[in-house]
Amino acid sequence: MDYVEKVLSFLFSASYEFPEISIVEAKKLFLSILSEGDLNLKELGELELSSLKVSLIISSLSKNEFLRNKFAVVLSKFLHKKIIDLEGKELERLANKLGIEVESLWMEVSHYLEYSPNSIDYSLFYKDVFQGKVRVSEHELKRIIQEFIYKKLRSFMKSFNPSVLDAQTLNKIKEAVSFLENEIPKFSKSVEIKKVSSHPPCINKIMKRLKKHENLSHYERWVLAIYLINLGVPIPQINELYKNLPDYKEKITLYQLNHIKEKGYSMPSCSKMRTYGVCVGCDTKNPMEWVYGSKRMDKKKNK
Amino acid sequence: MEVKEWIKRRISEYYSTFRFPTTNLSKREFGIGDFGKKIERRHFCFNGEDELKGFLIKEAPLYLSYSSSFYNFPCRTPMEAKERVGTELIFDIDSEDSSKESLMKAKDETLKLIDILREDFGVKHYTLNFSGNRGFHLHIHEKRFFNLSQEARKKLVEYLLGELDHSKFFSSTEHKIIGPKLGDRGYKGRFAKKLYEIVEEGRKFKAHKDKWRKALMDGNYSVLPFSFSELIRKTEFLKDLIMVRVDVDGAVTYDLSKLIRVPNSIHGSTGFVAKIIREGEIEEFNPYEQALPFGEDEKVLVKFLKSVRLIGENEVKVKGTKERIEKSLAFILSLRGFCIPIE
Repeated sequence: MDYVEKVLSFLFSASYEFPEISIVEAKKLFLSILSEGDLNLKELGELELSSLKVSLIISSLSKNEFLRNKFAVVLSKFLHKKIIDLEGKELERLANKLGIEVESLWMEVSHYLEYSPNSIDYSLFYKDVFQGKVRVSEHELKRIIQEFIYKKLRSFMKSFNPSVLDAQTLNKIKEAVSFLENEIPKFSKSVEIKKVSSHPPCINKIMKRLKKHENLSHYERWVLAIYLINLGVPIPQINELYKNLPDYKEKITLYQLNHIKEKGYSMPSCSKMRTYGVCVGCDTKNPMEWVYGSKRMDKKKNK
Repeated sequence: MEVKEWIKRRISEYYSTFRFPTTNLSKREFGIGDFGKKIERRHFCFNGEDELKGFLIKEAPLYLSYSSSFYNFPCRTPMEAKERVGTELIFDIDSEDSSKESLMKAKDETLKLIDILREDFGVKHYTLNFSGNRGFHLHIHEKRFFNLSQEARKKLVEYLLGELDHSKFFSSTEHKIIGPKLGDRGYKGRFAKKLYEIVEEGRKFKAHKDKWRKALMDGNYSVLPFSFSELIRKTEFLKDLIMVRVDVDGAVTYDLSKLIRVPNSIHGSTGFVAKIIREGEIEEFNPYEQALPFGEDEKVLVKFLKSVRLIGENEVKVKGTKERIEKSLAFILSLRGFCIPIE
């Protein structure tokens, strides 16, 4: 059994008995996820497996969406790294074992629709689609496996029933949940832009998802950054907002924000936004038109 | 007898011979409607066909809908308590009005939808039925789609309705431009085939015909004397020629708690049956012939409340006159307030 199978079969097994130390280890594991944004597991012994399972239960019991999503995103990314060198039949064997039907890199379309990332790069429009199968590359298949793991983790959290735990273990894990929820950094949930009374609906939708700590696609992050930079919002303020992302990394975020600012990218048109899959339809030609419109309305109001 | 009571009796009569046409009856939630409201009461469930039939004969609902979803406990409320176990994939093709032209358009859209579902999605098992009003419903009976989330269903709808960026079919490196080729499938394949057709017919691109052919054979567009952006610009017009853009009501497909008209049930606004249409019969489908609730032989004496000219007839039925007409017609016209049965 390879690494990913071993982890997933343990996490989703019906076994809920683990040594007390695994609760302590799970807390440590979670703290490192919160501070470094990454999972650092060198070994994969019984203790590591049980502390991962306790971490999953912590996420399931917590009502904090940031904590829940952070764990699912970080663990699925970590397991993605473990399959990065898999190729050919080995890769397909793993996918099929997990329940993703794929043969000679033609994937069952319903599995593709369900597990492909929400990015325009994975839009069915641009794929070979034939007789209920979609052609994928090995790179895409690995990314789809990552998304599959993410969705399975989220689904576990949603349906987890605490009654499977004995009272003592449940209390200890609840204590860990409270402890970790207090460790979550406080984030800025909005950007105050005095000159603008309303943002375009596409931007509002992205901001809403960001505030819910959902994992935004590359294009969503990209257009939001261009939008805010074009409105003159300072980089540190935008960086604070991006801390809501479950896979936030300060170094990469700051690099990209500064890069966008230096290059002076202008806001993509609505037709471009449509092709990015982020347009919600509001009858304007460019999202900035909405802003200029709202500025004009503000002026009228002030008169 | 009051007209409403006559209508209800006819509905009850219709359901006395009704056979539930699809699967998973006991796992579906049902909803019924009466005069003026399509879904007045919902959260009904039935253990089997006999129980459902008994209910329909007693209640004689003007509208009968069921859930596209299957549940462990279809009667329970709120929705979460029903425990959803799967959802049928359903498409709703509507038209602007009930004119013959609009119905023809809806038929074309439906055939287009069936073609793309077969070709791209490998769909083989489905039921097509008239909506009872202005369009058609397509129910896909394939388990592989039952577990699709709302998000995944939206992606499917997007594929049928959305706008593509044809530049994404192409990619360029420093020395090579790669693009759609004849062996490709899906939209990419349709793009290549359409381009090939245009080149062959000589409608466009006459100057480099052989080079276009070669590019389309192996997907290497570097043989053409165009830059990447020129190529994108020159082929932009093809986008409109290949987009399928099936006019489906997306919400019906992705709303997991949707109730939809039960195939072969009565539509209480029009009086037509939401008739199941067999393979190959949609082109000829005419609701005034194939979607009538009762046999041709039975006649009913009615009094016309408004003057009306029936489709396919030259003569006008004048307000106040009495006439013996087919029971189905009497039912349809009574529902719409054109006549009242007088016996």
